[in-house]
Amino acid sequence: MKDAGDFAEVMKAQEGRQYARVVTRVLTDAQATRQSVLAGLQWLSVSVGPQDVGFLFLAGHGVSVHAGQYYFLTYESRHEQVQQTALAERDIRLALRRIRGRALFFVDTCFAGNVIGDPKSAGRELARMANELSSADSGVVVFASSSGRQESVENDAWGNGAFTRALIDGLRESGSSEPKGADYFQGP
Amino acid sequence: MLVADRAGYSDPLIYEVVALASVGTGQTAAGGDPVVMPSNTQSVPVPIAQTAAADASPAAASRIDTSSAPLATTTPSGAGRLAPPVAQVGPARGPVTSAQPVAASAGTLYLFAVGISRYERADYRLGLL
Repeated sequence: MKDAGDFAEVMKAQEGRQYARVVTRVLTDAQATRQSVLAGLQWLSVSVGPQDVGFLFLAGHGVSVHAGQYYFLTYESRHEQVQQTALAERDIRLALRRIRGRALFFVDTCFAGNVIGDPKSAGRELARMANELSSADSGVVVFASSSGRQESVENDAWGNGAFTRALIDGLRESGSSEPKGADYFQGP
Repeated sequence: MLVADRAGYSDPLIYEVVALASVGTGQTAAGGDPVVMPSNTQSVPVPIAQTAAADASPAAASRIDTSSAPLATTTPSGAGRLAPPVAQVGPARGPVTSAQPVAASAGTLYLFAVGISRYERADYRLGLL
């Protein structure tokens, strides 16, 4: 998916700048099976040392099948077998908690409705998971595209989801030596 | 918590992301609803050097070259906290008129990114069509 590749590219550009090295692993579309995503989470967990930083970036679809459980849909996910084919919240949480250095989680997911539960429910579950991850126990920094009652949006004209686009645009400007936009907070 | 709403994205959101990614600290508010940075956010630019000073963790201080500090906002308490809604942002330290290139940290960034496009997520399998 374009979002994941673009985000990896902009972070790779930070090599030798904000970070001494930047090592990326990207799975898009058909590559993003449940097993390959789990393997990637494992790679992230064991690779990040105490002085390192681990980023997990997920862009796609999120659902809540049974109350209290958030799932990120993999490429092979099927609505009748979400628990067996999607990435469970506990897998995400476990991987992030195992990271020995600083962990950041970026999630840009819209929520599937219709057959797979209530989209509002999925939003609430993501918000709950984000809060749990960012608790003192876990200490994960969480950036999410929407909160419990909001909807993440994407637009062909942007070429990315709104959240990822904002992220990428901001990070691309952050290396500038000029005191322009990305270096400041600004009011309206 | 960052929010990209139907209005697209607003500049303060970008700056929040950049600032936090640069500092390498921060998180959403614990408990309750995630922190939302509204588009009408007002905030105060603060050099990262001062952010590091506010961050009591030695690891955080060692990662940040205080001689070449880009800008970020922070809370007075610092460590491990995302700048909360602006009403809670720390004391004003005055505008900074120039920014310096970011110094490399000692650590390695490991990034695992997964993306499934809306065209590839096979909505028919999910019963969404």
